[in-house]
Amino acid sequence: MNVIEVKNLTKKYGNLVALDNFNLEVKEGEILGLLGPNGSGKTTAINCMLSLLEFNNGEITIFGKKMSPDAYEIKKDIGIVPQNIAVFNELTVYENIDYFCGLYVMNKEKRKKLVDEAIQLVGLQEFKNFFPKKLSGGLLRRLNIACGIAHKPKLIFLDEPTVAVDPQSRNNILEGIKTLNKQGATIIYTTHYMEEVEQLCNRIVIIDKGHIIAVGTKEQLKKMMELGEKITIEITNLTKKHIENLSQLPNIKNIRVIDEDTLSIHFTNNDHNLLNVLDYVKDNNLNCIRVYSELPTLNDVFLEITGKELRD
Amino acid sequence: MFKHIFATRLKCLLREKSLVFWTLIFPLVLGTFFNLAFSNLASAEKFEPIKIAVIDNKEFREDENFKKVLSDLSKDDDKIFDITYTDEKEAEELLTDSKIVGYIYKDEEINLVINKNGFSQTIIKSFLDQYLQISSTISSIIKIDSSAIKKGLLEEINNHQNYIQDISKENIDDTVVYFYTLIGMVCMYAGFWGIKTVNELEANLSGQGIRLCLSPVHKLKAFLYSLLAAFLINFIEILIVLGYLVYGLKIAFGNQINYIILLCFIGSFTGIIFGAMISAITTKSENFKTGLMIAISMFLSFLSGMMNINVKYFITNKVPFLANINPVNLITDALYSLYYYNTYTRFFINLGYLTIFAIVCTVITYFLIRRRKYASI
Repeated sequence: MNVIEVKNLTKKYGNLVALDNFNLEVKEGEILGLLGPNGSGKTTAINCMLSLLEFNNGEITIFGKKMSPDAYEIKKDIGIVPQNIAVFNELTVYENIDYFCGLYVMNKEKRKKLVDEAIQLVGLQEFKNFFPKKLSGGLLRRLNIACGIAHKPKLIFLDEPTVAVDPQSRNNILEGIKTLNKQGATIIYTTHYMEEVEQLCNRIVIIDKGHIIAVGTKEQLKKMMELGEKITIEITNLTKKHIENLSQLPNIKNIRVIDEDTLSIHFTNNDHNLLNVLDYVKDNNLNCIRVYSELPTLNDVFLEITGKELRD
Repeated sequence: MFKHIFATRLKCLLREKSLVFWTLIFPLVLGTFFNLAFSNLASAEKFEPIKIAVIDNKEFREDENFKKVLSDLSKDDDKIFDITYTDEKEAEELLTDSKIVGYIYKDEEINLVINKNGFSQTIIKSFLDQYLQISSTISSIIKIDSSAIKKGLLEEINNHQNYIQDISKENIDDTVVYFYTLIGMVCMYAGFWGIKTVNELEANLSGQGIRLCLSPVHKLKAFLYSLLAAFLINFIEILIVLGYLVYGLKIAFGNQINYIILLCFIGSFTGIIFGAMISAITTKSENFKTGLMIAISMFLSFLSGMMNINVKYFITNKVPFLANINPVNLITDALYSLYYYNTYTRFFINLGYLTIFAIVCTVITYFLIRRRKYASI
């Protein structure tokens, strides 16, 4: 069952097209990663889906019903963790979570239980009487998450929740998200951190300039781009002839010249490519300084599709 | 839901120290400074009884009329003379030591002895001249009609007919206007609460607003509950400031307490909704809006006479429209009219204009915050 369906969503800011015929389906129980560089349209897409932003065209349904600002029945089951910290500096950690949870859950006893669970989930037990100003960036991010998920929503939007956090908090946050997913929540996770998406998401949507440019699991995406391993090799007596010869090796997808001594050789699969390269080096008496092989990453997928790095 | 939002908003707002400072502490401090400044002014202008001596000789003791007149003028709080009855030698010493301004001795005539000219000496001289003139008038009339006294001559002379009716309840003291303006300013400072309330409600202004807009709570209801919390705090603050001015600093506000509270009630609401409107109009930062609110409040207070009372008179006479749309001036003028006039017409005209101002701000704010989606966030 699709929890969210977005059809032909178009959003313009004046002449700038932020989203162009954006189509998306989010399946129940999955963690969907919205991946794209800054300004690609991830947050705009989320805000449109949540009926916060006006849009020029398109149709959005959540839980099978049309989403609108007055769709309170739908909103009851949605949780949002905005990109910027959205808490009250005048309230303690506990009071903040309790306030936002209280917008959904009226029963005090039930709410107390939910707030305690949320605090435990994000690991803020020792800080529940702290005011936000006393918290580190990482702890603040955790509080930001707790405020959005305490009421146990079925659908959670997390908009870059790990920006500028320490590794410990990042791990804590990612583990918490996995736990929420295991408890049955469908999660839409936007980020420009590839590692997080690879670690967390069942399915990935790559966005650039308001367009969806690829959708699939990470394996599907890599396969789709025919991406195999990548070998980087540094040779001091490299000539154009050698580059031409290397490009004739089996499974070669392309060769990129990094600098006058360094090549990045991309293959379409992972079968014995390093041996072939080393054989060529040995047979031609090339002076190889270093060589290493990497499996393709989502960044390579992104690079392959858009011709640019994700964090440009 | 009302209780949850209302209670949390109360907590949030009360813990916002800078706002509590501007809306409560600052007016209390400013009121204290006003009081210190104006009490010095008042004491400088206050009439002090003139210290004189009267030679207590046989002629004086036998002149019952003169004794009575001096006695009348040297008793009660509004006495003109502070009299020492003594002998001539001691009176000379007192005069030499400047402990008295002059002394009066009576022989066949009434004589005044002073050792220098001045304002106080002139008053004593004027009094004696007037006394002698009236005595002479009475003597002349009696010479013509010996039964004049029996016909009530003395009563008629004493019966001063005043053709000006004082309908004010107190003697006019213009400095109270500064304190009335202070109340007006506190009402406008309620705008800070309005700014904060709207900022934390709108999704295009804050993350808290995003959370609220995505919750199953109607935005206008949340706005209303939050506004009520802000209003309650500000209204109590105004009552505290008012109480401090009335009971602490003894500033005269009159006895129309119900009307004063009604005015503060509407004034407080006006301030909050004005701030809410400013916050809803622009997407600038909260600090910018707070700065703007301070500037507007101070400017409106200036036009209402907070820094110089003549500005208020100038605006009222030359630009009455500006006076009528300036909420601080309307509050100041309402308090002024409530205190000085025995009718409520002017008070209710001011209150009416203030209410219209509040309604206009409310309508604009409503149309600005009722939107359900935003063009950009």
